[in-house]
Amino acid sequence: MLLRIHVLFIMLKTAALVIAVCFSCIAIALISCWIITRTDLKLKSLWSALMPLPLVIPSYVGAFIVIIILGPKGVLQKALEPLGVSSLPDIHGFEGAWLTLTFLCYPYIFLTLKSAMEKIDPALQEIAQSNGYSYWKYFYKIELPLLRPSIISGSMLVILYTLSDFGAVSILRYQTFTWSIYLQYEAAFDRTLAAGLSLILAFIVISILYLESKTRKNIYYYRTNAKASVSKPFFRLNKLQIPVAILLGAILLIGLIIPLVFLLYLAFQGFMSNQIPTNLFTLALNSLMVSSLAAVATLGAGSSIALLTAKFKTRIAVFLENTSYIGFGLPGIVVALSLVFFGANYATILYQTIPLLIFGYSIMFMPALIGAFKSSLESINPRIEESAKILGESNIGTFRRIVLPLTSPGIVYGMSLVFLLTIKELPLTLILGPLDFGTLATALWNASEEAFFLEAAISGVLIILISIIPMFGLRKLTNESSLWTHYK
Amino acid sequence: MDTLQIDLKNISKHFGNVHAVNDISLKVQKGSILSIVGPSGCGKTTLLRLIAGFESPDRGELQIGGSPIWSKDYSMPVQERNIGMIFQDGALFPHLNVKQNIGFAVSENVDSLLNLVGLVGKETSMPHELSGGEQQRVALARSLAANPSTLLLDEPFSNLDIQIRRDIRTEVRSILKSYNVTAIFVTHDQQEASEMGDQIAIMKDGALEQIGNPEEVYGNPQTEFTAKFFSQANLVDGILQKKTLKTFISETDLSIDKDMNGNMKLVIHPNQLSIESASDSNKMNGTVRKQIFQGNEYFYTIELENKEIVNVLQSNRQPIEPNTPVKITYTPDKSVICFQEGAQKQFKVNQ
Repeated sequence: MLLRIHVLFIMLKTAALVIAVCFSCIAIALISCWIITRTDLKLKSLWSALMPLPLVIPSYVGAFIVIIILGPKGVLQKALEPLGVSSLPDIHGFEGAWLTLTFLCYPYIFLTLKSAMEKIDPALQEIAQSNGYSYWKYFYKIELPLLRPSIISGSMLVILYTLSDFGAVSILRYQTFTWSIYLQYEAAFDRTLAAGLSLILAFIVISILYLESKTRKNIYYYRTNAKASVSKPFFRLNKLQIPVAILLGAILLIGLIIPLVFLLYLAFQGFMSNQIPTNLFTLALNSLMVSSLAAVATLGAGSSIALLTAKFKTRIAVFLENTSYIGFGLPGIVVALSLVFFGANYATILYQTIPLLIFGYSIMFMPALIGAFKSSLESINPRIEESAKILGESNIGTFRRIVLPLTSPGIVYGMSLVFLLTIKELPLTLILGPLDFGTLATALWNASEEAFFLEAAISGVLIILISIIPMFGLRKLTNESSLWTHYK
Repeated sequence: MDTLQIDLKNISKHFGNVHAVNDISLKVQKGSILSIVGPSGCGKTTLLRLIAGFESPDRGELQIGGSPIWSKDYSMPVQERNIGMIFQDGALFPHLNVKQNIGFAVSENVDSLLNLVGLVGKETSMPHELSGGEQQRVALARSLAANPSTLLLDEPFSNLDIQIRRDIRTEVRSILKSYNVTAIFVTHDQQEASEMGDQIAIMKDGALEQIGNPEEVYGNPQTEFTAKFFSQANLVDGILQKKTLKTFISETDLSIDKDMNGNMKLVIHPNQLSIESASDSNKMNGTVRKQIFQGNEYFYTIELENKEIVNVLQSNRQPIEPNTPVKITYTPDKSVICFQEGAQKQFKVNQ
């Protein structure tokens, strides 16, 4: 009975957070997208490049900054002290998690929504207005229904992110499924409850993945119908230029600039006061090592599935591919726990070793690689391969001389994605890593748990630096369909 | 000279319920070019892919140069068939430059091939930097480099501008002739087919309608489809009574021994008809519906008074505008071709 109440309690808390984050993300994304696509705002392309950037901040870094600024004895409280404010409401719990996840997640809806808004035929608006519709009536009756599938699809990603997030909710101590699973796993000798919770979470996530794939088909439908190019800016902002820019700026300030500035400032302080984590070099090396190994291992497993599905659309190949996508949707903590059970019971040699950890990363991030590799495979005109064969080249020779050179950008892109995702990964590393094994991500998490904030900031800066630099090189290759790849 | 190079015997191939290729047999002599022409979806590309080895026939037999490349229990791999193929979009290797593309299989004669196809100076250009015509020249040179016994060309010019298309056609034909390559050239354009091919094969719904040299096919269509599609002829309703073939616009005395009766469709080429504007309503038997200027000639679509539609090709000093009533006259050649319930019949005309 107690157990059931406990599970119900976790479900309700998770649902509350998911719903709140989802709605606040929709609001931010809708307003900022509308401003960027429907007004004559200046520096549009800069804004639209900047708005999705909070995606690069790992959730535990975001949460950590929230604690630094809004937490007890945080920056804000100290600033208000002279005014006689002795304490602020506790940021731990719902409010903190809501705030953190909202600003990390809105880009998912922003990106899907923006591409949909750009594809809506401007002629629709002209037709509606020539039929006597006011702008708002047009927006409500015509544009919003057209955008609905995109909003829903983006929201699904936000829901998945929130359900799977471990970093933010653990640092901010809000008991969703993931944090509860971890607590149960750490505290109890009997891990049945942790397993039960994982099972429920996995079920919820798989149902949402299924729904997401359904809504994605709808978007496609709308797009093929709308031949539209770029819609003309309709609203002249005039005097509102600056206030509107300030509004967008405020979103970026909270979601991107303040976190980065504070992180850098704290890291700088840490360096000056010599509070550098003693094993910083080892941690960075570990991060680089597991991420590189994960990229290579995932390439091995993922490329064979990609080749199989791109070349032969057999039922087994498609099944393998679809199954691999589930790994991407599953929260890291669920994958971690299942591998703990597997390792402890059936593969004791592998339990708490690097190979099992790498295996876990591969399960989770293989779809990122498959997606990148497969889309570059499918972009090769089949006549090109046929040309090579009819010129006498063997199948292996054709692969080596034609397919490999043409897909190598896709392979590099896919491997880089796996690398980036692994370097930011927290719960799997925390649970599956060997004893006394740490990465920058786990070091940050441990340090912030023990309130070694300066140490944590140094790790955070390194993670973001390592993960941002390759992203500039990859930006050319990214498109809206790779949204998934930022997930987690 | 007359050695058989390509020999197809009763080749069939279906995809699902569609018989893409239906019991086709044909032969091509060494050094000769066969044009296969037919509307899109008639199976001509599938036929090429069967010969190349990208698809396998359901049944039949394929021979090249006297040796089997496909039969019921043998299939020679694509790589060993020594066939070249040029695709509609060139299919150049996008990551290799012109020289590397041409030398993909054999790198010895690249310079002379560059010269042959007129691309000297473009050796280091990448495929995306070339025009459509240049891409197809590279594709041709790349195929010839491997010294194929047989070359298959799948609508290689259909993505090019009309002007370039005319020039490149004659050029490619003379290159193929100088290399003495046996070639099958597939197109949906009957003019292109006649210009390129020593022989023409008309294909419809997966089957061959007729095969012969271009003049023969044009002048003596064996089926109504060939008459309409390849010769662009009118099929005018007529009745044969005793020795006279009557249509709405003509009466022709035929030189036949026995009297014959029956409904006929008379093949009339657009240039066998002439029109003049008829101010006198007694003389008019049709009305101009469309007029298309074609350089030297005008192409008219005429609606006859009995609602039949015919096409007329004539060089007028003074074009006749649409909706003008006209008098249309038919001048037969020495013989006429008719179809009686689909069966072709040829009659001499009593001059």
